[in-house]
Amino acid sequence: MSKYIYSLIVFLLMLSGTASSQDSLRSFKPTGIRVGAETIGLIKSLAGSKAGGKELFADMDLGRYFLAVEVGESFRNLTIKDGTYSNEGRYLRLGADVNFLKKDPDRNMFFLGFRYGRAVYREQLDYVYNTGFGTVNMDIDQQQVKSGWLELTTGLRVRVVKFFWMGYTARLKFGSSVPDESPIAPYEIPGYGLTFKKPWWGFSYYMMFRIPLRKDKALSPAEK
Amino acid sequence: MAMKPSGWLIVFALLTLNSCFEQGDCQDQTSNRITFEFISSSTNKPSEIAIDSVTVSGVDKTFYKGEKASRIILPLTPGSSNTELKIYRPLGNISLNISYLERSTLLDPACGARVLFTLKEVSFTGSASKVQIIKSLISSVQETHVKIYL
Repeated sequence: MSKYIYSLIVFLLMLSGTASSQDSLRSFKPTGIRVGAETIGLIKSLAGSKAGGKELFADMDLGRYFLAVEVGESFRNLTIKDGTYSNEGRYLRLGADVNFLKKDPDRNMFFLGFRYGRAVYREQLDYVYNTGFGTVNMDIDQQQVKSGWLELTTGLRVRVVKFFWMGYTARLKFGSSVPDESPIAPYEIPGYGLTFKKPWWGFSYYMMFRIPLRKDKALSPAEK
Repeated sequence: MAMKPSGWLIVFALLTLNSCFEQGDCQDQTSNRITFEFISSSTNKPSEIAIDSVTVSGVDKTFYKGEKASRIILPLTPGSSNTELKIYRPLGNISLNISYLERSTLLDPACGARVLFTLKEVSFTGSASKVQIIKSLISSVQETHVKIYL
């Protein structure tokens, strides 16, 4: 995990260099908070899929930097060759994004950023194990499993009408950690995905509302 | 030091592409069969011994009845954290208590789940001089997992 954190720090330093080389940060006062919901997992859940979830999103601008938080829950039910597997849990991602469209008058956003994710989840595995001398029914329920991971993110946020925004986040996920001696080797981490996919990628599509915290100052000719 | 956003996107896309080709596989690297090897304490080499029979707790079967062997392969009991073995032989019986960590692994929905056994401790009573774990992860019967010194 430490090598990933080191790489992330290097990545952020490079991002910081890119961000500050051309523009000075005139103000770190937030102008608004965007809150929204992830739609892909929601549609899967509503469609009665065997996997799905809900995720809420919020971010707040500090100049061209945005603090982001994503909170969600997910579930998956699988029929496997010799039994069933189910997973349900909650997750939290915290991080920051750097906006590269600073001069856009509508505050549309193309960003690069990072997240640190944590999940708490439950896994159930019920299957028939053939020992070679008969079969044994293995019925295992492990609860309060904890995992963490890191993400590099990129995406867009576009103002559709006055307060309504849409956008997506593409994620490169890596550095996942799972318990070493749990009765089930974790198969899936909510918010991350399959544990054996390293690195792994993800895609979230959001619908958001922006709540202004103070009146937007018009961009000066110099800023344009 | 600074990199254009398009540069980052290319790096991101390449790393993501790598993940797209990663698939779970059905290669089963697990086994519930543990391999013991008998070693002569005087020569420190494998030694063939006469066995009357071997019993394993939780398995309704007798193994190696009236055979001679320098290696024996026996099953561990799933759903338990230890298995007891009794090796009956003309020159003195040996009882072994094997403690292990059992971990179920879902390989893939199409492949199903397996159990991965990791040896923690092997204790013994009877006519052995020493018992030593050589390889704690049980993955292949071709490997020796425990040596029994006689």
